[in-house]
Amino acid sequence: MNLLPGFIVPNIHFFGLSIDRMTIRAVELSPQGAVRTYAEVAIDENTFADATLVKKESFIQALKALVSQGRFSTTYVSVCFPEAYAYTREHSVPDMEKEDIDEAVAWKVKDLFPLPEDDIYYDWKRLDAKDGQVHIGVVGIQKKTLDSLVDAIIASGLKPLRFEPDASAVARLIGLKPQQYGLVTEVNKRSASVTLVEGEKSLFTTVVTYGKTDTPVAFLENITASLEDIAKYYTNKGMLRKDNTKVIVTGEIGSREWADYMAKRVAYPIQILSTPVGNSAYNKAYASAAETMSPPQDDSSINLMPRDVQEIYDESWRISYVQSLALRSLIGLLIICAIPFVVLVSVLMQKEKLAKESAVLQSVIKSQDASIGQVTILNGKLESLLALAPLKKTPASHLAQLAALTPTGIHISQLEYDDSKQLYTISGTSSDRTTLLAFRNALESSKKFTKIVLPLSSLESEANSDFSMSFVGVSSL
Amino acid sequence: MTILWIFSGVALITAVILLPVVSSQRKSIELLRNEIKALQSDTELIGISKEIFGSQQPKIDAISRAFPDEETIIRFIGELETILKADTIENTFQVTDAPISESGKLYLLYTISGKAEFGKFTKLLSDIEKMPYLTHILSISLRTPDGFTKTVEYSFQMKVYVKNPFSIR
Repeated sequence: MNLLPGFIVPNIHFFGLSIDRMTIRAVELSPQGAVRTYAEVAIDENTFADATLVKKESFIQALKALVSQGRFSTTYVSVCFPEAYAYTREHSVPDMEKEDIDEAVAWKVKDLFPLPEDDIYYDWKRLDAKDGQVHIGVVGIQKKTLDSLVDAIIASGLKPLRFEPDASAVARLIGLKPQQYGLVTEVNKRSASVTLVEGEKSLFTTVVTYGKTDTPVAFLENITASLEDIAKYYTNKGMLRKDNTKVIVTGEIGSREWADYMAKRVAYPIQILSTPVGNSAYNKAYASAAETMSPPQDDSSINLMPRDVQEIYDESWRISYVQSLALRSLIGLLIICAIPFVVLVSVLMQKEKLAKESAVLQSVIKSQDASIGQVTILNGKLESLLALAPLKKTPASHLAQLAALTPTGIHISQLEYDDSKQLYTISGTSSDRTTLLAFRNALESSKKFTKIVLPLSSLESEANSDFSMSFVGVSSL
Repeated sequence: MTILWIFSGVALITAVILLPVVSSQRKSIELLRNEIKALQSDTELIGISKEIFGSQQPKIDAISRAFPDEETIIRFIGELETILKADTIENTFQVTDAPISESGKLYLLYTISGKAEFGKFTKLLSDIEKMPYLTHILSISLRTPDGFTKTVEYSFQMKVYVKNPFSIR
């Protein structure tokens, strides 16, 4: 496992720490990139000697004071140290796999740096590739320098994730492209430095110290002179031109006044480097906090983290990863276990609700039983009414019609009516046969009566004969 | 890892046990939903019936009156007597003591006889027909010694349908 915690666990949070000769500063950004908090603590001027931490205890206390003052939300930290402690070199190798370049650089290290190979930590990053060759920047630092820093930082309770020279961090913040040059002029109260940067790699650094006998004007003059010398040297080499170079002013007292003064002496445009912190003294700490974290193995960034520290992190990460995985798996399984229960409870609740709804409706319907009974009774009455209504018809009109059709010579003395057959039976006397037959025909012609039966015996006598006759009334419905 | 395996097993067993239960409960819910739909439909019908009862009350009352009950039969008799007095010279009527059942329907059988002008007699029949009761004249017997122009002796049987049930007091 060659990964840093922050590499695999994307939500790891860290703050940026810049170490200067007389001050340590830190900046923490929120996940959205806004400045969350920042703090600074002064350290003794002699804390470092010969690029080595010599006052370890006071440095640890300073770090603790810094953390206490800044109330940072994390113990992970990205550290940048003075460029002067580092060695920056360029090298070209054939375009190969990363592992092969690693090996090639390992073979070349002893030639690149003026120190025994065993005495330095180094890291490299790809700059550009051309004609089958990869141009890489190699940065080295003495082990004694970094080891003393790492020990103190861990002893203070912090967990360093990255170490890089401050000029690299600032160059990254400026965002210079390859073939673009920046003269990063850092002006602090007791010292200054001028670093020539191409893209994100530093090419040359010079340090200007504020001596005890120096006046501020002399200090300013020395810085400007150093800047002029570097600019002139690299201009003469054909590297620096007005269209590809600018001077970047940063540091504790890197103010507009300094920039205006230097503008009269240097031909290149001058930019005051500013960050959301609003204080140029925090530029390096901000730059260190602003960049996403990459492990030393990443070939696009510099991280001088010692391998043994990284291995401790790797092991710690592995354990926490397994623990986290197990915990998440358990939570997942618990959720899977819970889902059927939740579904069952939900279904039972739904059933209960529907049962209540059904009971309410049944109760409503039961309370309306009287209405239902009324409807049923009414329906029965209607059926009876429809069936019986035709029977309500009486033979009144037929009787009236019969009376109207009875001629003068016919005397009806008896009439019987049977409604089941609509049958009328009459009997009486007739003055003569002709009249009787005419009466019969009149009944038939009236269409009110049918099936007229006149027995022949009624026609036997010519005159004054008794007769009987039956006929059926034609329903007018 | 052991705990993970145990939890996996528990999760699987839980799912296997509970899924059929959930499935059967869902079927019950479906049945309940159908029952509720039917009940809602019944409730709507009841509501509509009530509306009809409200808006058609006069007609419903008329239908109800067509079958006199033990109380309203008195009114029927009164109305019948009024008609008889108006249309006949003399009259008598007899009625069965108890309603007679016929295919689930009850009726009282009246036998009415008397004397009347023939024209008034036909009017009597018409007036009975116009009464707001279900009546049915079964047979008529007329003696007309003077023909249809003068007084006739009449006798007829008539069913008067009554409410079922009809109690005798």
